[in-house]
This record gives sequence, C-alpha cells and structure tokens, in this order.
Amino acid sequence: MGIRGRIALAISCMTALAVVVLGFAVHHIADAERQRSARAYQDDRLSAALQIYERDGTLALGAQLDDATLPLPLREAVFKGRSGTYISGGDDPRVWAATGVGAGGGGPDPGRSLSVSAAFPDDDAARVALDRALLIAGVGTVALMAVVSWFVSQRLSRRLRLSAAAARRIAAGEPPDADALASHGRDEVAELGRSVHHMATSLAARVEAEREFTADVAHELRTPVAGLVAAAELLPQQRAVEMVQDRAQAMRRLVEDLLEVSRLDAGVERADVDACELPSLVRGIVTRAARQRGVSEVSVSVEGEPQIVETDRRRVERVLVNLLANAAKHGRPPIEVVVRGTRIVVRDHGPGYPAELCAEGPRRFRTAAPERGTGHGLGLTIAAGQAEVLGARLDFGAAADGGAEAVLELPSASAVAAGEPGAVTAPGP
Amino acid sequence: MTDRDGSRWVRGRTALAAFAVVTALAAGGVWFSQATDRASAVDAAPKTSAAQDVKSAGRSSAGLPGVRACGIGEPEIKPRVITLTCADAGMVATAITWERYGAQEAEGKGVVQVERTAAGVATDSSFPATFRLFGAKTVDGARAFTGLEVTYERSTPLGDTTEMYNLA
Repeated sequence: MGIRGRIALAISCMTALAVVVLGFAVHHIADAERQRSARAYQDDRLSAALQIYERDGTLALGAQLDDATLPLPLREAVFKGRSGTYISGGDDPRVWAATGVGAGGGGPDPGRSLSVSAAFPDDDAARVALDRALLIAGVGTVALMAVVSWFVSQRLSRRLRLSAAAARRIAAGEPPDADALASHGRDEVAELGRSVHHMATSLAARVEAEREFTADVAHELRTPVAGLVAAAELLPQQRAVEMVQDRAQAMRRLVEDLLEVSRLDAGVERADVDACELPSLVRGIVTRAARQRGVSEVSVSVEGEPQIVETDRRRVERVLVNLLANAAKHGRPPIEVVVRGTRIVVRDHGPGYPAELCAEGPRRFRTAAPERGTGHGLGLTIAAGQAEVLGARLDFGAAADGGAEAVLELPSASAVAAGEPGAVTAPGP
Repeated sequence: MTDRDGSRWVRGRTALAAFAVVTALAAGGVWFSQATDRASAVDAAPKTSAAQDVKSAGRSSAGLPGVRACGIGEPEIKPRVITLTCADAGMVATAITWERYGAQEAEGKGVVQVERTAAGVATDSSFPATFRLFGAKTVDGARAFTGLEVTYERSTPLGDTTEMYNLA
C-alpha cells in the first residue's frame, strides 16, 4: 500500500474511533437523560395524585393503591418510609414512582402504598431515531474523512513521486533538474526534494572529478610507458629484456584499458554499425583471441539459423575478447561459445562469477572473490560499457551445471534500423 | 547521543499516550457501569417527598372562598392541586402557585397533567397553564369558587386554548 493509502486509512480509522466513542457517549447521555425525565415526570404525577388522595381520598391520574405489581426494591423503600422512583426491566419495562399513605402517612410505618407507573419501552421512537441519526452521521463522517484524506494525501504523495522521478532521472544520467527538485515549499517534502537535489549535484560533481582524474592519469602514463616499451627492446640481456618487455606490455594494456574506461564513462563513444553474419564474426573473433591473447580450448557452436546483425564489429570483439580472457584467466577450460540467434553465450567450467557481480554488474578494480584470482577488474567493466554502447544486453550468471555464464544479447537488425540508424550513443556515467 | 535522546523521547511519548488511553478507558468504564447501576436502583422522588411534608397546610379559613373540587370534602383555600375531570380524575391541575387570591377572584400558574396510557415521557402529558378562579358563592355553608378558567400557555391537551370548568 502506498503512503497515500496508508495516510487515508490512518485518518479514517482515527475518525471511525472518534465517531464510535462519541456515538456511544451521546447514546449513553441521551439514555440517562430519558430516564431522568421519565422519573421526574412520574414524581410530578405521584405528587399530584398524593395531594388529591390525601385531600379527597380519590385516586387521580391513574394512581393505584397497593399495586400488586409494584417492584420489590421500590416496595421495600416505601415501607421503610421513603418515596422513590424506579425503572423495572423485564419484558415490559416500566418507570415507577411510589410513596406511602395511610396509617403513618409518609412516616416510618405507612399502611399502604400509592404508586403510578408508565411504560418505558426500550424501542422508544425517539431513542431509535437518535441511534439511527448517530449511525448515519457516523458512517457519513467516516466516508467523508476517507475521501478528504485521500485527496490530501494524494497531493503529498504526488510531490513525493515527483521528487522520486527527478531523483531517478538524475540516476539515469540526466543533469539535476533544479525546477523539479528545488521547490519553494517550506514543509518536509520540499526539504526532501532539495536534499535530493543537493545530493545529486554533489555526487555528480564527485563522479565527474573521479572520471577526469582517471582520464588524466591514463593519458599521462601512456607516453612514459610507450617510451619504456621501446627502451626495453634496446636492453642487452635476453632474459631481462623479456621480463621488462612483459611487464611493460602489461602496463601498456592497463593504461589502454583505463583510457577506454574513461572514454566509456564520458559517454562520447559511438557505435559504428554495419551488417555482418554473427557466427562467422564470432569464429573470427575466437581465432584472433587465441592468436593474440593466448585464449585456447574454445569451442564455437551455432544453434538455429545464422543471423545477420547490424552492429559494430570492433566493439563486439572487445566484449567477446574480454569475456574470453576473463574465462581463461579465472575459469577453467573447456570454454564454450554458443551463438543462438542474436545471442552469444560464453561459458566456462570454473567456480563461476561472484554473486555480487551477477547482482550488480562489474565494477572497476573490483575482483571480489579470491577464487577468481588476481586482476584489475577492468576487462568485464569494459565489456559491459561496450555492450551498452552497442545497445546490447550483457548478463552475468551461472550455468545450469556450474561455471560462469555470460550472455550477450545483441539488438536484432530491425530493432537497430527502427531505433537509431547509424549510431548508438552510450549514456553518461 | 542525539539518537538515544530521540528514542527516549519517543518511548516517553508512547508511554504517556498509553497511559492517557488506559485512563480514558477506565474513566469511561466507571461512568458507564455507574449509569447502569443507577438505572436499576430506587431513586429519590423529591416532589412527592415535599408533598408528604407540606400536607394539610393552608386549611385555615380566613374568610376567603375555597375550592371544593368534584364536590368532595371541605373547600380548600389556595389549593395546590385541583381535579379537573371528576369522572376518572384523568386531568389534574397541579403545582399551582397563586399570584393573587382575593374574595372574588384568584389567579395562579401551574401545570395540567393528563393521564394517558403508555405516556412514558413527560413532554406531551404536562401542559403549563394559567388558572383563574371566579364565581365565589356560599355552598353548603362555606364560601367557595364555582368556576375555573384554564388558559394553556403552549400546547393544549384537547385543542382549546381556554377551557372552563364547573367546580363544586
């Protein structure tokens, strides 16, 4: 249930409670007042009847001498010399007034009782009408309050939803929208909106600073590393040369990867698409990967009809090579590549991807699980970034019988043609 | 520190609210049960008790005419009740306070009570009225008023605002 439903429900419940308490109180007070006035009226009647009886000896106003149906408590009170009123229950509720007459009159030992009574029905018309009016008014009040509180809370929840939508837009990479968030209200919702706006602005500034730093570092490292590689080739000793060259190459790849990541972060990469047959493209990539990166023992199989896709070959190669290199480095052979329609599945028989990576996607310099060995964590980050530039989906998961499984789903040719012909732009950081 | 202070404040407020609710419920329950007890108890009848106490006052004749309703007994001076319908004594002028009581005429205010079956509630059976006594004559050796005019102030039991009754 949303906040608006909860607020409406809470207000309705409180109203209902108040209405019930108030209704019972009014009903109760009305009942007490009805009893009081009935008793007072019988008292009036009895006092008049008593005066006439005392003077004339006649029974006026329906008064009775020694009524056999006089309730016991009242009879006891009368014969103790007290005058009183009484309301009897039972099937025929009546209101009574009685006093003593005769030998001692109102004294301690009256000879006889003089009493009047009248019906005191439970289903009295006025009482029933009052109860009905209370019920109708109560139900009406609760319904009205439910509607009113629904509308009031809807206004509140609409502003919260606007704030959430603005925050989502910022999360999706749009610049902070000052109008949507920095409302001029002075209540908590406006304050929340402003806080989200400030948070988004400061986070965006921090991310931008980090991206610029990475780009600058990579760019500055590139020249000395290139010089180092060239200089290493001039070293005299063969073994030392090999070691220095190997390290220098590794460093150059790292710098290149960093540059690529910072370019992807900046969102300036554009896909350069053309039509190609997917199985032959994948076979070519796997062959080159074996030759250049030493990724061997890779089997390629094609399921279903071979598809022609509109995509950027170079970027598909970057994605696949990074996936294969990751599988070769952290998984175990055999590595299988399956092409099914526009999907490419890369799987190995190692311990599988860490759960965090499957849930949140790859993050740079995060290698997570010790069983995946050492690495910079840039390969999968680049693969995910390039897949995004291609407009493709890259999911990391576990294969049915163990091992890591990455699924690259390229957009079909028609989708690309209909969507954005020529180029796909990656979203920003 | 702030969090702990906050939670203590919240706890204190919850305890206070719970205390208030319990107290209100208890007070309501006591009030309710007392009222229930009162309904089935013998309550005082103050007017009847007062009528018992002032019995036989104002009987002394000071030469003024009395009232002898339905021709029974001695004429009573400044009577507080007068029977209007003698056949069944179903209409009675009660609680009369005399504003003027002279040798020829008397005027007072009171309430006409009408005996109605199933008249549980007072409203439609008590009628405030003004009474005027007139026609003082000597009846059976005693001075007595012979006519009574009843003028109802608000609602009327039989439809007429003014009713005339023959006394004695």
